[in-house]
Amino acid sequence: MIEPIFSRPAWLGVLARASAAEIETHLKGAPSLPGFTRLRGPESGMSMVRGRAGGGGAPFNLGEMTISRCSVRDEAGRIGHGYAAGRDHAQVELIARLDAALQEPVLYPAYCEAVLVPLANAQAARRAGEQARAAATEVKFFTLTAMRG
Amino acid sequence: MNDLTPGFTSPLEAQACFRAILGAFSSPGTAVELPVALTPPLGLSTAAAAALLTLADATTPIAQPDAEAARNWLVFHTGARVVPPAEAMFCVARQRPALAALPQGTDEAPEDGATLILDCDGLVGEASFRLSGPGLEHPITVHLPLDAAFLQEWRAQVLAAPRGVDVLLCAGASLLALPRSLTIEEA
Repeated sequence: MIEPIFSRPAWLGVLARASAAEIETHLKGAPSLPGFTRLRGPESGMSMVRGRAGGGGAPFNLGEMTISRCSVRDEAGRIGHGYAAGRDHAQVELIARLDAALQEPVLYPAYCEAVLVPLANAQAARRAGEQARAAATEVKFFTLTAMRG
Repeated sequence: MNDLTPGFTSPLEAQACFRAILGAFSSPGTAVELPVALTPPLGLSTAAAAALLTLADATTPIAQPDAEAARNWLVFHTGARVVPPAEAMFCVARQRPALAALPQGTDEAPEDGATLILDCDGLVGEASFRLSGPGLEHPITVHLPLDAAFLQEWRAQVLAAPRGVDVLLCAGASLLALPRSLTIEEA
């Protein structure tokens, strides 16, 4: 299997969709994370989610959701940020620590292989399963204008 | 971004600082020690850093005419924009800008006048000044690190009341407030 190259937004996305327990399980197979100092948080707050009608209409406020965030600086001075939906402070702290480590090209391969790849695969499989289940009950709407003539 | 250090570790610190700053503005000319254990960024005193962490947010643009080093730290922790002094709600400086160069507010909205956070070597200076006004039952005489030019600018802004600039003098972890309603005379 070719090792996928994750961009920073991509790895932050994969980690934000994983629970603290999942991340910790996969971290067992990787070298331990560098020591760190917390710069901000972990803390929870609200964020306004905005939507667009039909995907391209005028933006409107959909509602607020709870998010947590954490920023850390590790021993080597790298800054990592973690943001995720929900109130799991352990999760965002782990994300921030991993984010700091993943920015280091020397450390990247180990964490990518041990954490990102399995998490991304599990998420893709889960998504595919959900899509298959939804597709089985899909209703196709069409108009009958052609029959009127 | 590598020079970032932690800000407040708990909201209680911000609350305690807010109470202390409120106290400083209520008794002008009296130094107040901020109850914080903070490592300030390069170029800012502990008191100035703590005051900005307490008071500034995304709706209060900050001007920083001379302390470039602390910019990342301020933006990261407060979310405030960094703007030229003429647009700022808070101006933090070591080299004092002219009071007239900062927003003065308007007669209808004097609260739009800026707050100047001035970092000094110490809160006690050579010259002695007589302070009187709201918050002081009797005039007090204090030694402040202010010069004649400041006094002249202060007199000019007192004439423009309620418009004007409030001043916070900071040194180490202590600060001292000079609200715009204060009368400052040479003693």
